[in-house]
Order: sequence, then structure tokens, then C-alpha cells
Amino acid sequence: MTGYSWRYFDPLLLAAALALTAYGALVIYSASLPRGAEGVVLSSEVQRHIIFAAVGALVMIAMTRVDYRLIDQLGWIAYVFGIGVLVAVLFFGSDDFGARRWFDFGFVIVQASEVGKLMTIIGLAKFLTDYRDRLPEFKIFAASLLITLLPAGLVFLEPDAGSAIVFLALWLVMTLFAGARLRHYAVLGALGLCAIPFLLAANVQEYQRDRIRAFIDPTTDPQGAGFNVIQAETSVGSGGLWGQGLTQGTQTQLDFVRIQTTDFIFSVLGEELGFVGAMVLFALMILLLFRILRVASRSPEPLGQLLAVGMVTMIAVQAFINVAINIRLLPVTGIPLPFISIGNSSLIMLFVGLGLLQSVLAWRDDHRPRGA
Amino acid sequence: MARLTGAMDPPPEGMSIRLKVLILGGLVLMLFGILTAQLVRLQLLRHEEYAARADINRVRTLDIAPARGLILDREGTPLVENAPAWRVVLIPADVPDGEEDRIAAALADTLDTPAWEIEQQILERKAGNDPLRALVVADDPTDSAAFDISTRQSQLPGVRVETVSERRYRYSEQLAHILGYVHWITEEEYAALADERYLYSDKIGQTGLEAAYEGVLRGEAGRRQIEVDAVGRELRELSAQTPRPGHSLVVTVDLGLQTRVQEILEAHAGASHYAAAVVLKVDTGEVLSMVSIPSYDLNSFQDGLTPEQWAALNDADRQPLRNHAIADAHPPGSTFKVITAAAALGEGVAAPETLIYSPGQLVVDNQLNPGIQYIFGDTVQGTYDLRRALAESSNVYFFYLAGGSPYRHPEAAPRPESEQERLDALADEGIIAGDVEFDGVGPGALAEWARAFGFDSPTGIDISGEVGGLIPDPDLKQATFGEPWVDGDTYNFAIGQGFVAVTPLQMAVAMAAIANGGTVYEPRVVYEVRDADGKVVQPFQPVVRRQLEIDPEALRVIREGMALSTLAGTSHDALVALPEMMVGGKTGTAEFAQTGPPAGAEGEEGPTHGWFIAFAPFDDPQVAIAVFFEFGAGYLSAAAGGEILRAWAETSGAIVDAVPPPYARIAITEEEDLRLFEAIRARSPQ
Repeated sequence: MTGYSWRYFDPLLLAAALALTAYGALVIYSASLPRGAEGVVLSSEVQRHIIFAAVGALVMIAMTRVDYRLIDQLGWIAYVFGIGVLVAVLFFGSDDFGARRWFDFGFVIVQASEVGKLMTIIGLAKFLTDYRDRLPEFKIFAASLLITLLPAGLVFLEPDAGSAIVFLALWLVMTLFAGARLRHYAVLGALGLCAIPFLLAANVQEYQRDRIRAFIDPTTDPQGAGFNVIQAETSVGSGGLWGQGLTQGTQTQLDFVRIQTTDFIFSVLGEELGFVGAMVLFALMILLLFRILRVASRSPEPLGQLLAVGMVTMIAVQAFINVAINIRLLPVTGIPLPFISIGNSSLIMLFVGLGLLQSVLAWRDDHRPRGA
Repeated sequence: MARLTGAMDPPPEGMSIRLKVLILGGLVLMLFGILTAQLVRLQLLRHEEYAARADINRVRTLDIAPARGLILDREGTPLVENAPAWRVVLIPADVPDGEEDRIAAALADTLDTPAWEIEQQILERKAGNDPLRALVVADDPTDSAAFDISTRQSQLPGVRVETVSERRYRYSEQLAHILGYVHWITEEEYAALADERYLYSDKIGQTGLEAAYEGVLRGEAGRRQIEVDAVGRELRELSAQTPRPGHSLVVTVDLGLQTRVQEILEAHAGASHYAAAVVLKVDTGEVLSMVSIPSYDLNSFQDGLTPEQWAALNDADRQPLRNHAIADAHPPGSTFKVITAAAALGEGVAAPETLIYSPGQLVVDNQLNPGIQYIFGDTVQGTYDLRRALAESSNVYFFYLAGGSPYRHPEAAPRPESEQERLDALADEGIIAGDVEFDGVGPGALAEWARAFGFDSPTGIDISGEVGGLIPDPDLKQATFGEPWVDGDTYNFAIGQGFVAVTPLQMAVAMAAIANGGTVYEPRVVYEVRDADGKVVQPFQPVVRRQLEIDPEALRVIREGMALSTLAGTSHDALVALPEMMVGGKTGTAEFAQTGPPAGAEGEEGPTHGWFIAFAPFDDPQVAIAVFFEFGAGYLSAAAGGEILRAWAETSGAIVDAVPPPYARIAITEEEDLRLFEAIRARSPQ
């Protein structure tokens, strides 16, 4: 029997996503509050976040109706589309301090890597499903890596090293999940180790070196790259248990932390909402991730499982990296905090991905009435 | 070769899906566990430390400079004002790294300072340990430059345009040496005065009243705690403590008199590189005028000096920055004879009627080598009593008073027969001449008297830069040169030559003591101190340094001798300048090429300084003056001194009240003068 059933729609998955988005809107509201504002002032950032969350929720519901198994036929098209977007952005993207990362369509800004990430999840899932039996072959394993390295490399060229790492994480977790041989990783790992010095010498941009240096010892450059690392850490630390209260964080409101609505949004949350606020964020994140993992365990076939695993990886890795940077566990790299950071395309792609997962739940060949 | 399996079969090997999902779930929890652990560390365990750090970020303590006290004249006219001025400062720590060159270039566009210099200073301060201390980029920029920078402030993080107050000297040329100047506190001063809470932005007095009354004028800094944002912009005030403005000084100096004295000195300067004059009130020590020329423009320090101005200020001969009235000590020449006279009268070695014959010179044997003789010259010849000796400035008279007869030594060479007869004839008339036994005051007692009059130590005037001068004595000579004191030294001492060195101010103080009956005052430039509201916090109180132990009658004799000097003596030019008022004066023409002992006694013409001391009016002394011209002569100084007394008489109104002197015109003959003098003497209070 083929068809879908709303009975399998996971309202908790939608609720967790919306709760996270709403939480994000709250923090953005504070971070983007104009200096000296009286009362509640919703900046355009907050408004757009809310609007895109609403659009996202609708997209998620709409996606539920689309049979995710279309990927079986269209998966490669999606992947190629993703690659196309990543190539196009290098030529036609908006120039922003030497980086070309997004298209500015006026009403919406599309971050190419966000599209690329989802399309790569789809492409990898399609490939690993098709070749899962031959994955133990090294050439298939290697092919899966190439499929990932192509978009990852393009993102790296933007340059956006942070997002490139997410691609590699996607590949690692999805291939492991699909059953790749461990010794193949060992071989690749050995090759990779040999290549690192050359890559570093040739490809690491000066700003990346600065950031790594700043991470290792921020005090060498307290006003430059190290500035945000120290200020973010200070912000979070000064938050304490309960935080200083929304819109009351001095570090945030006095602009001691820069780019606080995107990469450093967690420092705002940490300062103003404190340890408790961070735990609420983590709880919501874990709830969302576990609902996605539930999709993986419920899906009877590899495509659905791999899509779910890809989404879990993408969200978990980004969330981890973003927060870790804010609390000085990792060097600075630009990665948004899923659902919380502003970023319209990130939000839409997340909801599209979750919609796909709802579709995985809904479109099951073997679904039977439960409980009756 | 992998085994082919059916597409719909579940994965054949490895772990079950459920296990893999569980593992993934575990990994997710682990990731968030790591984050949570770090958050516990930051937010719970080390919260205090980070909270403190956040406060340091946002709270800045700013000092508020107090308004420096004003300096006013007796009428309340401000002589120094605080004019608002702009200042561009920069907090190096607030300048983002990598933007130093951009900000330096932007500032250099508007200001005159080259960009590289600004950039270098920023980088140096950042590398130093005090990057939060403001760097002064531009002192007193133009209004348009200040406005330009303040409008662009948002693009210039760390840069601030401050309003500061700047000292504006209203009568700068006339009062330069009295008022003095301030400058921005230097790094060294800042470090040395760390305990006194000076601010980087403070100005500190360097000379004159600005330096001497630094602690009074300065006031106390206030303090403001403000909240700033990431680029150092002020958001709100957290607390404020208002500064206490400095006290104001009211000076004793009469601006009108000061101006005229300066003009008079300049008109008489001639070949002199510099000159000085002091006018004191005799019964309080108040300085009515103190002028040192050349002067300079105090405001030029604020406005920036041209190379020509700089060169002029550093002229080694003229030394405009030096207050020559207090900072230089020179041999006083014959003006010192009033001190010798006071010592002789005080010690009782002579009476006003003591007659001494001057043969025009005194021949003195070398005490160590009798074959050598020194000649101590005199400008006059004849028999003098004390008054006339003062009036005509007989050197020999005062040689005797100080050192006694040169012929008293048994080993002295015999005089020529003819001269000896004449001297014996004079001696028979009771005139001290030739080898008559006569002991003078002696060098030790003379030095004591000189020191009692205030020489050999600073007068204690309340402006900085004063020197004490020098009064020699036998012990000092022995200690300094390793040579014994000889009679020649005493003779030089008696007429203010040789080792004697005094300042014009010391001379004026001594003059005042003679005029007021024997009180040595500490001269004062500040009349009273007022707080910012105009309330007097320190009223005027004359400071008596010493009361001379001398019969006032003896001082009156000296004053009479000085009056005679203006009528019929060397100070006659003072009378020419001011015939309406009876005054007393004494000139001095001091040779100064002489260095080392013994003093040149050949009477050759060397370069001289011109001195004149005087008091007025004769009947009721109110002011004492001392006038000094480097490369001058006594009679020329007397002319300037007379004009200064005229200026005082006119500005103070004394001339209106003056009782016309008992002569209708300036005397022509010596007999007439002496007759007049006797008439005057009969009038003067006994």
C-alpha cells in the first residue's frame, strides 16, 4: 500500500522546531534592540525571523504531502542543483568583505551553503541508498567522499571553512551509519594527515590563520580576531545562573560582542538568560534531535533513515560548533546556531529538511493503524 | 567482492538500525554534555571573575579637571583667565587594531600633525602598559577642525574632542615673570606626583606665581564614572563627584605702575642686555612692581612658537625667560655703601659727623709680600662726613668705615714726606687721615650686618626662581679659595665689589628696611587668596623677617645722606626726573669683570653694571625701589629710578599730596645745595 497518512505526522517535531525558532526570535529581539529603545521595539530582524518561521512551518506541513521517495528519481537533480547554486554563488554572489556566500534577491538573502548542505544530504542519502551494498568497496566509499568533497570544496572557496566542516561531518556520520568499513576511514585518515600541511600552506586564508592564532591565545590580539572570543566568553560567564535578564546584558547591549545576531548569538543568550537559559536551549535542541532520530528508527528503509541521520548531524554539529566557539572551546569560524541565529535561508532549509522527515514518517509502505 | 542483496532487504551485516540510532543519540547527548560542562565552568564556577571583567569593559572612570584659579589685580581685573579651548584626545585602547593608520590619516587630514607621527604614538601607547590613558593628539585645534572631528567621531573609534580650559594671560608682556606659565604635565612629573592625584590632562605651573602657588591654584579634581559602549562612547553617568575649583590670587602688583616701569626700563636699556626694577611698599613688603626686561609673551607658549620666537626666548645674553629681579645676583657697587654705613653706625665705629679725608685713592700694601702695593681708587677727593660721603659716594670714606686705616700696620711702607705733612695737618683738625689709628667694622661684623638686611639668602618672596646671592667673610674665603682674607677684600666688600653678589629684590628689601626704620619684610606678590566664590580664604598678612637692632636715628642719617645724594650728589638725575618730591637715592656702578681674589685695585675702567636704590617720599617713606641695568652705570640708573618714582607718585596719587620741596628749582651750586639740605634736614622728623 502506498500513500501517506497524517496520523504519522510528528507534532512534537514541529513544536520543538517552532519553540526553538521562537526562542531565537526572543534572543534576536534583545540582540537587535536599538540603543535607548523605549518599550518593545521589534527590529526588522525579529520580524523576518518570525515571518520565515511561519513560512517554514507551512513548508514543513506542505512537504509532508510530498512523497520523499521522489528522491529516488530526483535525488541527483537535487544534488546537481545544489552544486549549481554553490558554483553560481562564487560568480554571482554578493561580495561581502572578499567573501561570496549568498545571493541577494532583495526580498530574501539566500545563503548558498544552506541550500548546498540540504542538497548534499539528499544526494548522499540517495547515493548511499543506491550503493549501500557496495559501500564496503573502497571505490564506492571513495565516491561517497567525492560527492561530499565537491560541495564542501566549493563552500571552502567562498570562503566558508566552517560550513565545509559540516559537510565532512555529514559524510562521516552518514557513511558510518550506512555501514562503511572502518579501515577505509583509517586509510583516508592517513592520506589526509599527509595532505594537511600542504593544504594549510596552500589554502588556509590569512584570516583563518588569525582566527586560529586568536583562539590559541586571544590576548595576543585583544582588539582584533581575539576580541570577540574574549568578549563572548566574558558575556557568557557574566550571565551566571539566571542571566542578567533579557535586554539587560551590558556586554550585548553595549555592543561589546560583534555579529551578535548570527555567529555570536549564543553569547547574548548566555549573558542575558544565563545557565538556565542555555539549558532550556539545549533541552529544546535535544528534544528536536531525538524526534529526528525517532524518524530514523521508524523509517523502514535506508533513504528515510539516512535523511534523518543527515539532518541530525547537520543540526547537532552546527549547534555544537556555534556554542563551542562562543564559550571558547573551538576557534572562531562562522557557523549559525540552527533556528536561533538570524538567517532566512538557514531557517527555510531547516524546515524543508524537517518537512522531508515528516514525509518519511507519513509515507510508509507498511504503515498500519496503531493502537486500534 | 561484496555480496549482492535485494534492494528491500534490511542491512545484512553490522549493527541494527536501532543500535546505530541509540549510538547517535548518545553522541548528541555527549556533544551537549561537553558544552554544558564548559558552561558550568564559565557561568557557575567562574561567574564572579567574568562579571568583574564585564564591568571593567563597560565602566570607565573619568577625572574632571578642576578650573584653575584666576589671578587678579587689586581692582579685581583678571590678569589670567581660563579660556575654553578644544583638545583632541585619543584612548589608544579604544582604537581597533589594524585601524591605527586609517584613524591617524583621518586625523592628519584635519590637524597639522603628520599621520605617521600620530600612528606611531598610538602604537607606542598600545604596546605600553597604560593604553587607557588618553593621548593628546591636538592641543588647541581650530574651531573648524574640532567641529569636523567631532562630527566624524563615530568613524573614529577612540577619538574624542574635549573642551578644556587654556590659560590666557591678559597682560602677558608686562607680567610674564610674575605670573609665570603652565605646561601640560610631563610623563616624568606625572610619575613623580603620582600621590597628588594629578591627571594626565593637568597643566602644572612652571614659573612665577603659577609655580609658587601651584597647590592653591590647582583645586581638586572631580571624578565621573560612566558607562561606555564597545567603541568607548559615553552612554550614561553612573556617579559624579564635582571638582573643587582652584583658589584665585589677588596680586599686590599695580598694573598701571608695572606697565610704566617696564616702559621706563626699556627706554633706558641702551646697551644693556637686560635690566630689572622692583618697587616695594616699605611698611608691608608688598611688591607694587617687579619688572625684568626683556619680557616675553606667555600666550606664545599656548599658541605655539615660531622658530624666531624660540630663538629669541633662548638668547643666551638676554635670557628673557629669566626673572632678572630675583634670579641673578650681581655686585651691588656703591649702593652697598648704605649697608656699610648702617653697620658702622650700628657698631659705633663712626658717627654721622665723623670726617674722613679721601686723597683720591688708598695705597695698600700686600700683607704677605710688602713689596707689592695695591691702589684702591676713589672718584672724589676731599673731606667728607657720613652724609656727604653717601651723597658723593666717596670710596675711601667707606674703606675706612669697613676696614680701618690702611696705614695702621707697622710694616707699612713710609709715606712720601710731602704727603705725610698734609695728612698730619688734617689729623690735627680731627679729620681721620693718613696713619691715624682708626679701626673699621671689620669684615666679619660687616657680613653679619649685610645678612641681617637680608643678603646672602633668598628674601622669601612668594614666586619661584629666587637666588640668595653671596656675602663673603674671612671664613668663607678661606674655605672656598684656601686663601686668607686681606684688607683689600674688606675694602672691596665695603663698596659692594669683589665677592659681594645681590639681587635687585634683595637691594629693594634692604632699602625698604632703611626707609621704614629697620624692619626687614619678606616681600609678597600675592595680596590675598580668594576662593572661587570670591570669599577671602587667606587675607594679607605682612611677614616680618627681622627687626634690625639699630637706632632708628642711624637709619635717618643714611636717608638724609641719600636725600643729599639726589640734591647734590651722584643721584642728581633722579631729582631731575622728579623735582616735585623730595626723595633719597643711592647710585652704584659695579665693576664686574673682576673674578677671583684679590680684587683688581688698579682702578682701570672695566665693564660695569648700573644700580640705583631709592625711597620716597623723604618725609614719610612709602616705597623703596631698586633698579638694575646690566652693562649700565649708576647715574643712568638714577635717571630711570627717578622716572619710576615719578610713575609711582603719579599712579598712587602721592604727587598730589606731596608737600612741595623747599626749593624752587634744581640747585646749581654745591653751596646752594648744602644750604637747601640744611633747611630740609631741619624739617625732617627727628
